[in-house]
Parts: sequence; structure tokens; C-alpha cells
Amino acid sequence: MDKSKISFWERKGDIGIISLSNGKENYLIEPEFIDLADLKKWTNDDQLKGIIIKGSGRNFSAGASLNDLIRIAENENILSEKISAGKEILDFIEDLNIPVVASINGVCFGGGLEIALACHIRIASPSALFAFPENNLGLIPGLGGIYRLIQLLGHRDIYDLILSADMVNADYAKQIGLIDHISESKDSFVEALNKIMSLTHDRSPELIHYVMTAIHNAKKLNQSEALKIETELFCRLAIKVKKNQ
Amino acid sequence: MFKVLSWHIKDNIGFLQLNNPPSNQMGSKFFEEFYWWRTEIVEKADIKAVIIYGNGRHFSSGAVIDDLIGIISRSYRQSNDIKKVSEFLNINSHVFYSLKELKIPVIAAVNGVCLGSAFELALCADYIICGEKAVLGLPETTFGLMPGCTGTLTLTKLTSKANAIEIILSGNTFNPEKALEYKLINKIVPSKKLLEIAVKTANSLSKSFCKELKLV
Repeated sequence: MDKSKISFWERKGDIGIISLSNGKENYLIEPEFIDLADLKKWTNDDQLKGIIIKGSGRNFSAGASLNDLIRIAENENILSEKISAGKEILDFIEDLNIPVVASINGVCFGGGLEIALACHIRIASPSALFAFPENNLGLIPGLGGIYRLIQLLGHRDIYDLILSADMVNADYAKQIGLIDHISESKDSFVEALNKIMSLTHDRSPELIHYVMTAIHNAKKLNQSEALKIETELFCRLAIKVKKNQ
Repeated sequence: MFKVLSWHIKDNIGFLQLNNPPSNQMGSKFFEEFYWWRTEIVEKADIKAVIIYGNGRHFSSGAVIDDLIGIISRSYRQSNDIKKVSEFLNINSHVFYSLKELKIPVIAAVNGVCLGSAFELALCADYIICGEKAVLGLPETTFGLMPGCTGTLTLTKLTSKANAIEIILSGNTFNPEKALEYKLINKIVPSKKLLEIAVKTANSLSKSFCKELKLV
């Protein structure tokens, strides 16, 4: 097992597992919960087919602790550098061309929720809780969470979550589309692993990369460009299938 | 004229039937005829809506995969240039997607199976009505391929990224209830009433339809 800042990295076959690990609540000491260079090193692997991000123990992450936040905020330049670095990490995760599943137990607050939102699929335990408590401190989510939330939910449901800092449970989170699945068992990890295995185990890494690339392109590129690349990726796979026949 | 499509107009509604029973598979003939219909026929017709549906019990089981990969591989052997090969195939995507450039509503009326390219075609329509027993899906990844004719784009625009990833990577088929939950279709109706309700929908949608209502 490798460690980077408060994150542990472990391989289970073709799947990489990142565990946030800092005390009971897995507080993020700073927005860089992982060193980007380490994350790049771990994910720079042609055989890797998926990633699960989870919290160690009973919680995903309670986000930043107030004390740490105040300490970092003493120097405005350092704060802004650290937030940029945190954003860069989450953008990197969101852009990965393998599926990234957040396995969420217990609390998933603030920066923790921002990490979950950068993942492609969110699976939570029935007792998971979600909130952006930032507004209680006169702050807003700073790592791209607002943007991701609007992309995901539209504008309708975000005000309660962000401006009133309401805490919501797994059922409500599922209902508004904040999460994709609620696990049957108390620990969402088994279902997160099953989900990612079922999506990837019979698929080649190349196929997974192509599908993820095309889906990312649908959000990023204009339609003509996205369609052009989709067809090209399809042709590459077709040639390969023919060769293997 | 048409061999695997049929086209008729009744009460100012254009009916495009996928007509290659029993499963209305889409071979190269289909793509030729669909191109012809889109570029030469539909815009000249005096119609207020289009309904696309399948002959018989099914909408369509999608492309003839072996034909398609045969054509692609031959073309690649000749040119050794993947960009050239895909340029040619990309025409199909553009013709499908160009349903969104029509000024009138396009309704897909889906009974039975609607898989792969057929589902991609339906997703390019403005409104999808499904018979209750319809079977939908993009199974391409189960044979080592991926949706290559607009599916990755339309799916990601209509539903969440998470759903798009799960639908495409799993390749699993799903029923209309699930499709409604994914926000991929608009309505589920009794199979026997599918066309009747499609006509009603065409009439009501065309009354106040404007191009801006098309999701692009």
C-alpha cells in the first residue's frame, strides 16, 4: 500500500482503491488530499480499469476542519495556491478515462463532497449524509463543487444545499440525483466494487478508455467534433475485432 | 425506390418505416436509403411532423455488425488511414444527428427491440414513445465495440454521465420504465396503441413547434 498525504493507494486486480485516511472523520487537512504527482504515477498504468475512492473507517470525509482552514487562510496567497492545487486534483480525477466510483459511507461534507462530485459514479450507504457546511462559515464550496453540482442537478436543487447548508440523507440525495445508487448493505464498498467489476471485467482497457473519452467529449467538445472522434474510436475497435476474428 | 425503408404521407404527417423484417436490421442499404431520405425527400415534403417506426413487432435490432466491421477493415487495408475510413462512416452520424436540424418534430415510435444503431437513431428524434414491452440498449461493448453513430453524445446529453457510463460499458438492455427514469424516452404506452398515440403526439407537438425546442 502506498501513501500520499492523507490518501492510501491499493490495487485489487485491475482496480485501484484510494482511501482517505485522517482520524475518525477523515478531515482534509488541506485541499491537496493527495499529491497530484503520486496520483499521476499510480494511474499511469495501461492495465488499470477503474478506481474507487472511499474513506477509511465509517465516514467518507467531513471536509476541511475549521482549525486547519483558519490556519491556511492566514496567508491569502498560500490559500489561493492550495485551492488551485485542490481543483487541479479534482479536474484530473474527473477527466480520467477509466470509471471512478465514490463509495460513500457516513458523512460526506464540504471538500469531501467535492471529491465525491468529481467521481463519475456515486454509491452511498443508506445512512450516508451530505452537506456543504461552508455557508455556515460564510464560505462557498471552492474546489469546483458549485459548477459540478449545477452540471449534475441543474439550478433547481442547489440553493438549499449550498446557501442554506442543509444536510441531506441518502434517500433525498438519490432523489435529486446527487448520488446514483444506495447500497443495500451498511458498507457501500462491496457494491462499489461489484459495480466497477461488472462494468469493466469483460472489457479491454482500450475499450474502456475509448468509451470514457467519448463520454467526456460529449460534455466538452462541439457536437461535430465529438461525433468525429466517436466514429474514429469506433473504427479503431472494429478493425481490432476483425483482426481477432 | 426504397427497399429497406418505406415512406408515406398521411394527413400531413410523414411516416418513415424501417422495413427489413423480421427485425429491420440496418445494413449498408439502410444507411444509403436513410441518407437519400434525409437529404432529398423529407425537407421537400409538405409535412408537419415525422414518425419513425418499425415494420412488424420490432423497431430494429440495429446495424449488421459483421457487414460493418468488414467494410471498415477493407477500407482500412486499402487506405491504411483511420481518418479516411472514419470520415466516410461519419456521414451516418451526421445524417442521424441532422434530424435535429429539421424544423418539424421527429417522433420515434418504438415497439419490440431497439438496439445499437437503432436506439442511436431513436435518440436523435425529438420525442420517443415506447410500447410497454420495448427492449432498449446499446450492446456494442459486449462485442468489443462501442456506440459509433451518435450514441455516446446523445446519451450523455440526455442523462447523467454516470448513467451513460453504466449503459454503455455494461451493454445491458433495459425496459421502458428504466429508460423513463434515465430521462431517455418521453412516454410509455400500450404496444397496440403505439402508432395511434404517435399520431396524436405528432398533431399536438406540431401545433406550436419551433426549432428552438430541439435539444442539440
